[in-house]
Amino acid sequence: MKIFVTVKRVPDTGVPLRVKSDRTGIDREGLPYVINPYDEYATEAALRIKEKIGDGEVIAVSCGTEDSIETIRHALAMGADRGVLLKVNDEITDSVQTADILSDYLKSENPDFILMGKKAVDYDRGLVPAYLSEKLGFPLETCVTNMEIKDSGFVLERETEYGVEIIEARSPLIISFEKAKFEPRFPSLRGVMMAKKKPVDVNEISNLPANSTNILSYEPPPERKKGKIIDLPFPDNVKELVKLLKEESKII
Amino acid sequence: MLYPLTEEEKMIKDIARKIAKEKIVPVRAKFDETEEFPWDIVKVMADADLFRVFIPEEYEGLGMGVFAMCLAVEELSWGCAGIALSYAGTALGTFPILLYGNEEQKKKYLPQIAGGKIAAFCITEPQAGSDALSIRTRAERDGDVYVLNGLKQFITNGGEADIYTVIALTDPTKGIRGASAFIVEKDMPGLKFGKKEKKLGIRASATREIIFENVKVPKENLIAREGFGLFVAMRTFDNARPGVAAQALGIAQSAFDAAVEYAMERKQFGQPIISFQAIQHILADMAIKIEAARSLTYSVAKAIDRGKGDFSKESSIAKCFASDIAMEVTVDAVQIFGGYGYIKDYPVEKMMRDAKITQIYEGTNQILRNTIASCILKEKRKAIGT
Ligand SMILES: Cc1cc2nc3c(=O)[nH]c(=O)nc-3n(C[C@H](O)[C@H](O)[C@H](O)COP(=O)(O)OP(=O)(O)OC[C@H]3O[C@@H](n4cnc5c(N)ncnc54)[C@H](O)[C@@H]3O)c2cc1C
Repeated sequence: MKIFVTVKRVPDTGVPLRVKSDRTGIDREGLPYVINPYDEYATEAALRIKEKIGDGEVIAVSCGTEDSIETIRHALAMGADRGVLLKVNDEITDSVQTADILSDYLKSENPDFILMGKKAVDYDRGLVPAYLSEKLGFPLETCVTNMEIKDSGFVLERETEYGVEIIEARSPLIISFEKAKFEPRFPSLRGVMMAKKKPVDVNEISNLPANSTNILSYEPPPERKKGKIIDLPFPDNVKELVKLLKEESKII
Repeated sequence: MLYPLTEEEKMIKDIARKIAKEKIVPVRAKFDETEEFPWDIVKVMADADLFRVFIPEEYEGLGMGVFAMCLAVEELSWGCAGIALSYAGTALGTFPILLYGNEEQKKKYLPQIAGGKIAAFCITEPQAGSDALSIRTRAERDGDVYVLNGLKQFITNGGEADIYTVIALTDPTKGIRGASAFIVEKDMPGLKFGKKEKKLGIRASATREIIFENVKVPKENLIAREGFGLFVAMRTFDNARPGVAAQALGIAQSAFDAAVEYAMERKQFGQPIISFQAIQHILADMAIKIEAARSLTYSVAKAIDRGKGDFSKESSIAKCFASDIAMEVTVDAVQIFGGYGYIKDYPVEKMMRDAKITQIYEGTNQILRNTIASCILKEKRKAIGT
């Protein structure tokens, strides 16, 4: 069984992002990077599948610049068997391009499962799983929160507004993960040491597929306005607050 | 960077810090309150291979030694010194086997510890604290076994650990020269655990009385030889004391980090309190002490990894200094937090309570000053040839 996990290098969500002064992108200087948190759930799920069936290969794939090897190593340290970097020279911001590059690679690899994060937390578009499903002709289950491996097959859970959907799944399939009910494992020391020795293939993507969108410019979020203190005695302060919420901030 | 680390050392530090930050800090106040033993976190440490750090590669470890162990203890203690003690106390309990165990003993026990079974070291008795030489627990040879009888006091990881290294008298007529070291397993009949102590600090650590009632320990579990008990204990402490120093260091660093953050946020007289020079100087003094302690602890730990020989003096110096400054720094941190520092909703009062133990166990700082002084005298006498 061949299980692919897609992983992306994204800025650490704990640090505030700043738009470059010329508005062409995010100011990346000195930014700490992590593996996209949703991809960590996907990686954990892939490892659990492999452990449960006691056989198979988990391959971490990233489409990104050279630095994405770090992210692949994180998945390898968690336990993935090998990595593949689909290497591009500049960061891609177009989901169709990413999906094209991934599908070009994956279609000749005969994957049984492709596990993904439901979105990358940098651009937050969440389109790649759907595009990839379309291009490969694989079914897709989105925003999965739990996975159980039974003898008969896989049981997936999706949380909806109305309750939990329980889905029986068979390969081939793409699954995109929401923040799951299980915890991604910590990379162990031996895992990190072994990860350095595991193979990572680098496929240079020389001809970029066509892009579908162009980002014109980035606007920094509006600065937070100063708070207002209503310095009136009760009950005038409540009246004033209600008035402001209605008329000024239009929340109620 | 002030302290160049190898890639492996950096990995250990990073993983231990990640565990501290993500798994320990969120629950430390709860464990401090409930005094439960943090088994879930021990499992996280074990899964991350932290217990392998100080175990040689031949026994399923990573073979990295005392310095690497100290890095892990420091970072875990940055999260919570009590939770970290499950780990550091295991290292203490493992040293007798690591240093003087024979091949069979190492093969049997070290892989278990590498995989996350915890250990404990037992020397203290009710009447024998600082005066460890007055222990009374007996180990009488009876054919293929030694029969242990007696009572050990204040044993870290007691009742939780699977593996106990115990100092007991095989020949009471020789006093402490008749002491020997044994490996005792938790499920050996006659091994009992007394009450769990309620403590000022490190409350997530289990401290229990251990009662030996005709515990039959196979003769294969004698470490080194009969009569070597004191020697095994002393060398164990020499190797383990930098771990206490590292624990103290982690507590101090954590208190300092919290104090700086708070001083920048807390406003009085229309400005953040960090703008007052009086506060800045306290913070500067805290930083001076921490850096001096770190430098000392790291260099002693590295010296231990490099050579054989006698480190009693150096390891005592590191433990004394780091634990004394941890106490000072945590008291200062509470002061910087003002009234909020005294309140349990803020983290520093716990650190102050936790810091205190580092001046007491593995030799009180008074006893260690005695050790240091006697080493100085010995060196001096040797130099002048008397
Ligand atoms: C939380 C905790 C965990 C512990 N874990 C372990 C463990 O895992 N294994 C273990 O074996 N033990 C353990 N201990 C025991 C610990 O090492 C002893 O408590 C310590 O050595 C001091 O002994 P004591 O408590 O009997 O104090 P005492 O020896 O009675 O000392 C009382 C005071 O007198 C001072 N004093 C004593 N003799 C002298 C002297 N000659 N000169 C100057 N001052 C002196 C001491 O410094 C101290 O201030 C632990 C203790 C605690 C509290």
